Amino acid sequence: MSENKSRLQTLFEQGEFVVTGEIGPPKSASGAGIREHAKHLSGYCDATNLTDNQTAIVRLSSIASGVHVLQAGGEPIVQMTCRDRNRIAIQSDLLGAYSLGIKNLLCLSGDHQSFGNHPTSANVFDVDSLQLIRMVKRMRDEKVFACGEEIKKDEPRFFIGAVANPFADPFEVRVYRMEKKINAGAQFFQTQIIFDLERFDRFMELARERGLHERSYIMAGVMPVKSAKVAGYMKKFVSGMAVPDDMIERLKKAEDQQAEAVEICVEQIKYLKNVKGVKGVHIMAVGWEEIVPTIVEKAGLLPRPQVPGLAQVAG
Amino acid sequence: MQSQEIQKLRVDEKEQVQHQPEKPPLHLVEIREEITVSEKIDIKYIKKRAEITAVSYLWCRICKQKTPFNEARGCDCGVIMCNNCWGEWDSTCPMCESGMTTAFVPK
Repeated sequence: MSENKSRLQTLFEQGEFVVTGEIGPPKSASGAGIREHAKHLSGYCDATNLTDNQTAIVRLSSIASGVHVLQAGGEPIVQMTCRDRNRIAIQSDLLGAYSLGIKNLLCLSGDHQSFGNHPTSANVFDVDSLQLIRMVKRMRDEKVFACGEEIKKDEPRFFIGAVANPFADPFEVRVYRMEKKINAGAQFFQTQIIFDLERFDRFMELARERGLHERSYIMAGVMPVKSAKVAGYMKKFVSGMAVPDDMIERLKKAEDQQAEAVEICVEQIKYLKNVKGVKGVHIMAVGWEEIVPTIVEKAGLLPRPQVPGLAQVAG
Repeated sequence: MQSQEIQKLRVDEKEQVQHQPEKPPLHLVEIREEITVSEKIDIKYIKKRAEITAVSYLWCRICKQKTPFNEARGCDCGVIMCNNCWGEWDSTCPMCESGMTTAFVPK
């Protein structure tokens, strides 16, 4: 039923090049900041990710954050990790989230808790990301819980997303893992932040060979890197990240590093838009959300497309 | 098959017993103790549970070392650093360049 489809799914199906943003919920009980960010991104992003206790640090819940985005007139993509909940809690939260109007779900494993602000806490990982995707799909398509019991009334009909990291090792496994997620039920993908375009090209080549670009919507992840210092940090200390030296050098030589960062990000988006199989771009401006409209505008992604029958929403 | 093995073992034991040298016969010794009973019996149930305590340390993202809670800094973007590394990174967050707070001061 088309009325059950999310705006994000509809845009993909219309063949639009989709733009999504990301909001990190605050470490407090205030939703004002989220609503403000959502309004700020309105008209520039088609949907917004709400992270689920990102980097294993306690934050406002992703579902509650999703509701704040909805209240601000936006389209949320709620992230759900396997770290903090067992299958009972996950399914319960999924029912709750859908009942509150959230229609997009991004399934992922989650950062290990030892990196966060509760390093001695226990993790759960009752199900992994693949099993989570499968569980959500079964709830939607077969109307059953993970145990096999029937969902008697309304089932949660999520547009299911997953993540892919073309830069983790071993490289050859990345595409197989992506395929596994598609087989489990993933409909769209958001990739890790892409700096090494050459490697991403190879990844997409392998994905195309297996026909994955036709079985799912692949969104390329980008990030405006504020300075050479940030780029250096990411290269050295953030795992699964490939930051080319020439990009760091370019930022170092620039008079205005932030302007150069925007320029680099725009160039990347323009390049990625032309990669066969890439259906959208996911902009992760960590701690720099206010720059997203400028990037979207400079990348020539305005005006954002509208979905017939839906009011103009974004955020 | 299994029952046959058990049977065999039993036979072996019997043979062993038969071949053992004679021992002096065993006898029972009766020991009697007076037991005093108190008027009230107190039954104590001790239920041990894990205590949830404040975190005493965090892991620095830079030097990967265990850092005492009050010597670490945190940023809203999620980066956690020890004070030493924070100083080495120009006293700003290496990820988002915001000034990090000493959020981890125990109260």
